[in-house]
Amino acid sequence: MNGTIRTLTPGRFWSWMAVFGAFALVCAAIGPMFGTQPIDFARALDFSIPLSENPDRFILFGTRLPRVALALVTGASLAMAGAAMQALLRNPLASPFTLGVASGGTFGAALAIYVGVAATAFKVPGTVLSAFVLSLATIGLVWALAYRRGRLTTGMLLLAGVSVNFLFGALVLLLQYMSDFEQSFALIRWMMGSLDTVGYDSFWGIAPALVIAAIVLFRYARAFNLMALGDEAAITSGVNVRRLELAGFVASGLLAGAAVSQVGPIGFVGLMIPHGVRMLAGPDYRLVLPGSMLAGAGFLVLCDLVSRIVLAPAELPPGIITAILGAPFFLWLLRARAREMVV
Amino acid sequence: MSDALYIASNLSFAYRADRPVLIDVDFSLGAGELVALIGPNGAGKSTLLKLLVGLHKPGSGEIEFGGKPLGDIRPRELARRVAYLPQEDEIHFPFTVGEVVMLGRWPHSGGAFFDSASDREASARAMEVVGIAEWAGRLVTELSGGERARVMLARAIATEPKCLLLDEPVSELDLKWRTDAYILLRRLADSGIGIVVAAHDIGAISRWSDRMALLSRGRIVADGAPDEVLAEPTLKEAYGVEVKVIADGRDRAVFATIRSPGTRRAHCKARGDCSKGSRVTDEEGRDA
Repeated sequence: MNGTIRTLTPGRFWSWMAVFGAFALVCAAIGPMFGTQPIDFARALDFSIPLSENPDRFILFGTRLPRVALALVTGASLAMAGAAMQALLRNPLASPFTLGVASGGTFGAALAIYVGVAATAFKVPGTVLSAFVLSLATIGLVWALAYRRGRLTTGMLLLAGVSVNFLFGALVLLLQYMSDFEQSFALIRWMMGSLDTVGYDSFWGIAPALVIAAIVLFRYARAFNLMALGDEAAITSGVNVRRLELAGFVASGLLAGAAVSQVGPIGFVGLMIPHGVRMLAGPDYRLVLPGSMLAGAGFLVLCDLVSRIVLAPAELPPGIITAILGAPFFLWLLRARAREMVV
Repeated sequence: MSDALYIASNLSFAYRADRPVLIDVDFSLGAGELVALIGPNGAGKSTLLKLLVGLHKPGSGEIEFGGKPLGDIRPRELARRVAYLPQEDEIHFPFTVGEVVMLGRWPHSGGAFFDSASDREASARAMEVVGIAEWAGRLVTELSGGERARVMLARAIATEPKCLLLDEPVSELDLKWRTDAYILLRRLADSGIGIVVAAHDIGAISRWSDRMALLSRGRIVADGAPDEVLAEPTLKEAYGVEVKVIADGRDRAVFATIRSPGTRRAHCKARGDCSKGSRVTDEEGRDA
């Protein structure tokens, strides 16, 4: 107990950003160093050797760096979307997938796999396009169901989201039941998530959404704090709650939809990282939103690294690692710092 | 009244068309005035406050704040002048007490990302006057209901408003804190702030109020000095229970006088036929 009011000054803000930023940077630096195949970094960085004769350089620049970049933006997107969803739903159990984005996206991917759409315009894979469209459509559907008398009510959103989750979950199972062995296997692999990538196409599928959403969410970060006091307190403090909700849900839906469509439904990052950041830096959304973005980016790179080396040369799906690595750590944090977790 | 803050006339409101909550209500609040809004549960006290702060639009009638129609005032501008404390306080996520009080400064932030020095000073002053300065670092999720109520009051005061609309701010406070809160509200009113307090302990608040407004079934049935409003027949009519008012100087005690409910319960218990009705009257007897 002490008598000083904790405020957010630029000094405190940038100190925390330095901490989370350093974590992300360190992870991003270690990420490319290891892989299923050892490479010679001196040779990889020797630009005098033509690329066709330099497999080390191809592995580093063609697969490892793009993969780390993809893990960075995916982790950042999911964690920030999770933080925004927890603020908007005022529920510590909310995650980017609470309102059905992941199940809608999975249904989209399943549909593309079942129908057999391989590639679409601009070389976008059919699963990616279909998953993206369906995940955004799902959010729209959940809103439409929850929208009553000009307001999105939290309880209705949660119920609509959970119901839609079940609906699409069943539809995915139905498609899987009707699929042949090969399609079924492809779908299961998709559902486990994969950061396997060649080149930066997937990265560019997420990065623009991340930039736009970050700008929107940071702008509203201070108002998000007032949401914790409830709708009425926020409205009577002059917060345009309807606009805040719309902007927040669109931004987090875009983040989750982009991430899910590119890499599959990688869970746990979006639930856990915001809580971890909250436990360290406090619940102020001006810290939680950007902090989650940075910490989530680093965390997913780290998980991806583990997934590549733990059973090398085989790779584990990253979704398995985020939970296996993240859950015990998270539970330990929870036990050790239960006070700050009381919500 | 030249320095009127609120003038509301002919207000009617219904959540559902077939159940009017407020009927033809006239209400005013002047600067420096402390008005107690009293009346039975469901009489429309909270709804009236919500109309005044703009959470609901009146079905008919007009509300003016500071000489302007309420609808013409931008929400954030209104929030700088009017601080409203809902009946149910809600707080999610473990903010510190200081951070919650600082949230009262949001209407003044003008979109700034960081907290300013004046935000911190105003919040510190508000915590000082409410007497919770040393709680700044405590987690609000660990406070008791009464402690949280004081934090929320400090948040409202940190806004430095011209007007406070408080929906049962003291219902969870003990005798001393309740009295402290009333004394504080009186002091704030004396400094020029207009205050409306919805309250159930009508005897205690009458001492500190300039005026009392009694709502019953959606209508204001009495509005005036405490002595006028706290007339036994008026209260009996509004609350539907025999009422006794005992005055001792400026202090008043108001209680319901059901003919010795304790004896009645003892009797029915002895006979073993305690009906639902007898239990209800008993609770009403204690509640008032």
